[in-house]
Amino acid sequence: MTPGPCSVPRPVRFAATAPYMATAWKWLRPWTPLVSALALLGGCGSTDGPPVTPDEGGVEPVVTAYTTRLPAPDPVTQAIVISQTVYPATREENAVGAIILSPQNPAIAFTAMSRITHMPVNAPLLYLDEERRIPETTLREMRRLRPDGVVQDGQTQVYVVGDVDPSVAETVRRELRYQVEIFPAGDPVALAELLDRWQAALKSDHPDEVVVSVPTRVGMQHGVGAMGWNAHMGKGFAWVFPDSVPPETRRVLERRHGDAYIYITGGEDVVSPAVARELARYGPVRRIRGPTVFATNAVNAGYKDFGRNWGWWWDEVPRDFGWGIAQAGHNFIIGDANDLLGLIPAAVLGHMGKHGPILLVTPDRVPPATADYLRMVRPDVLTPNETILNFAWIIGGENRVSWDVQRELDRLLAPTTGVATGVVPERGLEGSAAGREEGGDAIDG
Amino acid sequence: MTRAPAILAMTLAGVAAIGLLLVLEENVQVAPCAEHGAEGRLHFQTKNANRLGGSAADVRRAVARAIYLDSTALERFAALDWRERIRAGIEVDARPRHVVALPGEGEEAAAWALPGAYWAAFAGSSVVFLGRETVPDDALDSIRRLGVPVYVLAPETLVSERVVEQIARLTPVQRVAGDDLAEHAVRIAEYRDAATDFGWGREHEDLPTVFHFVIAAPADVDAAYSALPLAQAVAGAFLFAGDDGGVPGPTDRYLWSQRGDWFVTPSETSFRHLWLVGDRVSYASQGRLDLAVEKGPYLSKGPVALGPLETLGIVFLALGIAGFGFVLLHGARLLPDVPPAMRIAWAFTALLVPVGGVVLYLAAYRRPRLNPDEDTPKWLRPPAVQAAAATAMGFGYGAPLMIAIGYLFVYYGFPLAFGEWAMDGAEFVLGAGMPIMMAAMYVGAVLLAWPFVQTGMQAMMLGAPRREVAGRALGVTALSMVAVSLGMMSVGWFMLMERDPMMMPHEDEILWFVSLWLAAAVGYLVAWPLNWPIVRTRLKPGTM
Repeated sequence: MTPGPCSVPRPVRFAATAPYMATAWKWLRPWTPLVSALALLGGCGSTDGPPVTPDEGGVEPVVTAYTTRLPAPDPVTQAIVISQTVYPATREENAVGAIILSPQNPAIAFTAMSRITHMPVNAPLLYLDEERRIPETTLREMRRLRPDGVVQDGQTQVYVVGDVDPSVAETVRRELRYQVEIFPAGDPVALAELLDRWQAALKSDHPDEVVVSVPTRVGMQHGVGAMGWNAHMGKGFAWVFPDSVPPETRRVLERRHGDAYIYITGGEDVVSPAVARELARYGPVRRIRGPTVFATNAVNAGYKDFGRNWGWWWDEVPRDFGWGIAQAGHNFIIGDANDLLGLIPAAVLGHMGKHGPILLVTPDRVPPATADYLRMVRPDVLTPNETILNFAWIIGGENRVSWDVQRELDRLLAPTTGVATGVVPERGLEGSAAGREEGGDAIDG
Repeated sequence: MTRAPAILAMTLAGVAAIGLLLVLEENVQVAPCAEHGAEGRLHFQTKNANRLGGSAADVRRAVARAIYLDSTALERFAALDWRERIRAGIEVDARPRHVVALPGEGEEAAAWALPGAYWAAFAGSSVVFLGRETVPDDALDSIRRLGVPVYVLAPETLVSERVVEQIARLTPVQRVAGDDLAEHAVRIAEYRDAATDFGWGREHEDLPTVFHFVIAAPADVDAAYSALPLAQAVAGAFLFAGDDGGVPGPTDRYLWSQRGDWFVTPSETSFRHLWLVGDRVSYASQGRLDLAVEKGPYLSKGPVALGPLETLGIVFLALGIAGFGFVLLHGARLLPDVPPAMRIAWAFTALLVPVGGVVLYLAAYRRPRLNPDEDTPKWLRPPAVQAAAATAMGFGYGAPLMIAIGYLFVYYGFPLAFGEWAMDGAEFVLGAGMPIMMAAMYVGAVLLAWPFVQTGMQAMMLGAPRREVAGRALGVTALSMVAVSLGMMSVGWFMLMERDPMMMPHEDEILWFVSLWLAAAVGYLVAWPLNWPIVRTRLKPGTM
């Protein structure tokens, strides 16, 4: 048809659609086998399957109503047990984006967990052995995890951090054919600076909230809770020394151009007032602190800093730091304050699943600061369609957190009355020696 | 002139089709084709599911340890008939507000009674057992004595309607039951009557609540009764898995609807915790159930689940695809004089600007022709429609090209650069993935649309050889793409980087396509008024 000067196309009436349908079918028909095959492929598989039995050498998690213990004999196994808890890996959506491989150096692992784990990377941390080689069990777990790759970083599947022999990355490439990226800084301060640059490229931004901790045992014990927040929300991180600010950290803060919000983990006995003053040149400084490492981490669990960061009414970007948990309905990750190598990979339990902050105990008691916090957030009973309950992961075997402490924690997490009182006698800490003790920072280091 | 745009168009449509088919495949698959993820596991706890495995005796020991019961007491109960176990496991409230009536006759009754038994154990309900056709005397006495409403938690195959009518003569009665075991358990988990304090009432995720659910296969009925104390200890409602280890449809649907959501951080919302009792529930099922109750962001609901934003997005995409088909067919049949390159541009405009694209296409051609005697047809159009047509001419190729290039970037992963040079200033942006992708989208779209499409269009418009108009075509293409990019890149950045800063959608998620589609639609709207001065200065035609 050639339209005339004033002609308009004919309106399409219902009866006139037949030729369209015929044309459409003519075009679509060759594709039907492909579409059918894809539908079959996609729809195949089911959730049916054989009964499950753990492998030989398996560990035995111990559950109570409100806690699950994830025990392991060593840091390598502990990291694997945690990774297996978080990532069923039955399909892409519950597998990992990538895997962090770290030596058993708490400061290196702490730095990596602070900056790599969170989305979009979505990575658990696994350990090398004490000789900095890949244990067979770790390699097997890496195979099981089948990382999807990080879209924002060239589909990288494994990040090797720290001063590690290049043969480690080669082994991963050869055995698993995964794409590996190496962050070779052996110094945790330099690693934090390097990861800050990498994260900025990854996210096209520098997060203005920056956690600042000290790379000593006590410094990390004070900071482990805030490290957990970073694994959960992906904020900035840098190290300082008790009496000085290293140049790498200055560079990290300078990149925020005066807009940094700095959160020091620990009191003046951990980070000196002089360091805090120096940090204040780069932005407002807050301390997340308590008199003990237990108190600092309890404070961290309840801490929230929320307000305007930058932007305008149509797109205001808030600063948003801290769990701010002051009521029931949450999960916690609880471990021995001296078990840093176990607690650091456990932060991934705050990144997925029930999420939740890290709290500390000793192997044989629940320190008052931790107990008081859990009492504050203890649930009450509501109707069955409004139940609000707490939960906790216990990290490590009974040498790390005893069965009595697990029970004590279970009672602190249980509702005050009602749903559980028929089977779990309400005792609280009033009946325990631990509940009456004061202080509690009786850990080494 | 006609072949190059067609080849380009087929390539673009192919990339989009493959991408969307991969998304479809990713989202319809029930579970991987092969059992995976279980090999090498040291334990079977997962973040949202505890597993109490082994025999019924193992389950009893684990439950006793979990809630500090004397395991010998549980062993004593284990020797009892299942009806007696229910009675022994319930501490009946002193003044019950309702009576739970469970099926008591037939081999199947033990499994059908499980969901009701869990509720009764939690609530301290008074329990009676009913026959198929009769109400036993002791049950009748209890019902008469208590004088409170009765809830019959059994299907008609196990408790007939005649029995219900018999009870109704004494007191109000309500049957709550499903057609199969899995649906039966879900009905009981969802039902609530606040007046009589009956029922879990766990319909959906809206409340900031924490719910526990106990899940077992019907064949593991002994283990399921062994875990009955969990009903009270953790307020655990009971659901069924399949005897084959799979997840029955009603259980699957129900638990996906239970997924909690959050606005700012996942720590702000409720969670769900599952107790998988017995070994029968397969690992693939555990993985699926664990994923089903994983918290997700409010708008998208997270992986696999269908959130409100995705739902709207799918409608948006579907309208676009329908518009694409309509314009292609309509143009081919009714506007054969319009150059194919222009028809293809309109088809892609209709694809990326759902509904609006079709409306503008019709507005552009349902009007008188300007030059009926000439080979290159032109239409009489008001300025706004001329601008719309000129926009479509550039947008129809440029926007799909940008989406296709973006797709290849996310498929293969962004390149990153963060060397020492990126240390102190804003120059780090030059090595950041998103800006690199956006720059590549723009440059790639210009470099491909220029020779394949725009040079030929300019040659046709000006009636000059391609070589002579090549430079002009490059300038027009670059300018046109700037106009489209203003809206498209801004909205694309917002959708991919700011809307959910935690999780940029992957290339196999529908939200990736929705984000780019929406960005392109806004890109068209922004470019439309900007094209009018381009038409006025005769850089682009508005009448073709």
